[in-house]
Amino acid sequence: MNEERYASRIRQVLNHGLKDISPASAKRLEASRHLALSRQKAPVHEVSLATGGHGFHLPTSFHEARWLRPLLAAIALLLGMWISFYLDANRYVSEIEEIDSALLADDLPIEAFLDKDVFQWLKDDSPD
Amino acid sequence: MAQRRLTGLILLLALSLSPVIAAEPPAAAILGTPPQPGWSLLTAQQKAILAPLSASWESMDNLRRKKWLAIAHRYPGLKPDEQGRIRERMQEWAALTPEQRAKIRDSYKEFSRLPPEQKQAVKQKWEIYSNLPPDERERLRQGGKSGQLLTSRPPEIPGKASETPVQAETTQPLANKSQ
Repeated sequence: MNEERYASRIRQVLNHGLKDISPASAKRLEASRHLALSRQKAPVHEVSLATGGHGFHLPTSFHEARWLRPLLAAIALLLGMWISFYLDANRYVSEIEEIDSALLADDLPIEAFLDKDVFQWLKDDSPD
Repeated sequence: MAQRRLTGLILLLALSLSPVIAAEPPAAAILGTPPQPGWSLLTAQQKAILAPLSASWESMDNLRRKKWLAIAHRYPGLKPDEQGRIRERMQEWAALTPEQRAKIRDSYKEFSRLPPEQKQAVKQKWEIYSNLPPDERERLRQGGKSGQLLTSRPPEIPGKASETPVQAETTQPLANKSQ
């Protein structure tokens, strides 16, 4: 804020005393102006690719690429979900395979477990 | 705003994919299983082990194929009698409905947690129970605890069942039940 006020004051002084400025000072001011201009941010350019007469524009600045952010976030989220699903699937298959191979190999046949009530009755070893 | 909506939509989709029916595999597991090889792409060893499933292999979903391939991978390390039982039961197991398989798995998980002596008792009881005629099984179950299978030996020959103590004790309740 102070800088802006200071710059405004300088501008006023310069406007009033422009005729009184010595050539040496005018030269120094000109040099300073050129230096200040050269330090300004470079203007934003777009890279155009000629694609059979239709221009395809690639955004070159972060500001212009803002629409890419939600897209990249969605892709990252979907990728994360798929990795999570993949790990889930591996865990599920591993668990099911372990149970299935044990029960298929057991000397007690599958039928013994088919009727849950019968199994619970057989399992119950409490006295009459 | 659009990003929030998109994120919300994806989260909603993820939640809707969580398991709903226990008998069916979770949707996340189905989506997370990459395509599994068809029968013609299996190795000779996998084909030999999974031969009882050759006819149904192509109609199996990826998750089940993956599970059977994992069983085939475990198979060579099993004892010969276990290998024999697995091959004998493959078709029977594959022919069951998902609900039946889920029930059996639940019961088997319970069974596998039992102490060895109780496991042995269940096996003995099943051996006796499974050799009884269906009406006799029903009578025994209505009549009391399964321990009676071990204490008072049920009939070995179904035709002479009425001569045994178990049969004599349970005749009356059946008569009542039929009324």
